Amino acid sequence: MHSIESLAVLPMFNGVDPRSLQELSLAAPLVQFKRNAMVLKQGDAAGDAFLLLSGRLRMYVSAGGTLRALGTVRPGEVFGEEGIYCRGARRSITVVAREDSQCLLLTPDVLRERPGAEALAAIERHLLRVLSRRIRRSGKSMRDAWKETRKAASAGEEAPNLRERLLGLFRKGDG
Amino acid sequence: MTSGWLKGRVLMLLGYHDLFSDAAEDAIRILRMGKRTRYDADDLICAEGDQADAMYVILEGQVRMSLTDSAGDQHDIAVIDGPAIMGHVGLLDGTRRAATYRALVACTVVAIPVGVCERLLSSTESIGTTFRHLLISSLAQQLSARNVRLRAVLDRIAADGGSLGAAGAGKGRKRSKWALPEHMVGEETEADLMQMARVSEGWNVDVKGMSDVKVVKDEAQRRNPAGGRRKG
Repeated sequence: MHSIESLAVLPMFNGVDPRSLQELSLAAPLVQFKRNAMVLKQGDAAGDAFLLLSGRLRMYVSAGGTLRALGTVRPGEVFGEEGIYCRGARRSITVVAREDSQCLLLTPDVLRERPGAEALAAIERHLLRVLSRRIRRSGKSMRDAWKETRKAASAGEEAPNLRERLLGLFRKGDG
Repeated sequence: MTSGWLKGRVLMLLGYHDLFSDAAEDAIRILRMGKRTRYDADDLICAEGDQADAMYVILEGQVRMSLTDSAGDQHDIAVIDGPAIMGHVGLLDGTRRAATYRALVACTVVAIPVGVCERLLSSTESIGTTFRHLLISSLAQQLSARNVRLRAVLDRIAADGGSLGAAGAGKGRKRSKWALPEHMVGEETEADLMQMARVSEGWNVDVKGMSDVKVVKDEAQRRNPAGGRRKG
């Protein structure tokens, strides 16, 4: 399937002019990964973001001496956005293709030159929703853990199980 | 508020973010769409639990951020130095304010109402692009900072033996698997959690000098402190 068709079926592009999707698909490079290929490696320099069009990817993170599987990236999900929006960022996760997959590469040039501006705006709104949800969720987890720790300490009780809780903050899509 | 002064503040704000275009003029236009308010020290800007009806840009001054614990006591956890963006997460996900923001010193803040934000989010013009990129950059940096901090804490826990074997040692109490060793529970862990809560909210800041902030239990006083007044 060509990338224009892969884009058109994604919910984030509902109502977006097909000509805009066409412009974006012509301008943004399409990259393909064979099963078991490494897409991103934790610690590497980050420069681009990705929109998965087809296939499945698996995310991992190494933290606290543990390699943890975070979850699966499915078509329509954006990942690696720190490569575009964080100055000097390093990849915070490792991503491996679970099956043959293809991604649209969102490069700084594409975002600067705005081919398919309407489609790019839809991607950016989608990314804002995802990022704000992640921040809200992680912020709430940290506040809850802090409150529980304070409560336990003041009552002289055993503290909550923090390690697993902190590891749990590395969830699907937190890149 | 002269154009030169405003542009200077905008350039400082944009300097924290990698944007793709000459965004200063767009950012100035965005700020002119909001309502500028001058707050005196201790004035409430927005309170934990309030509906998020605007996002804020601190043009100058400092804002302190506080959370309420399970006993109802309020704790200052961060100071935000302007220029900076705040209060945008609740606006984006439609949830209530997760923290209380109050002026630490006199400050100038622009509130951009939700309706204006929605128009900008939908716009395909350069002003909309600048707005979205500014917000994405802010959120991505928050998450990145949180992850760095989280990894450091987990690495320290692992190095200190925060695993089954080490955690099994204790004072005769049955401890759960992966529980922290006794010495990890307490002020140091609490400080870590607070630091991560700050980062999760986007403010990885130094809180030195905050020890003299009073804990305010009275809700009415908290929302409308004596002597606090706004200048339009």
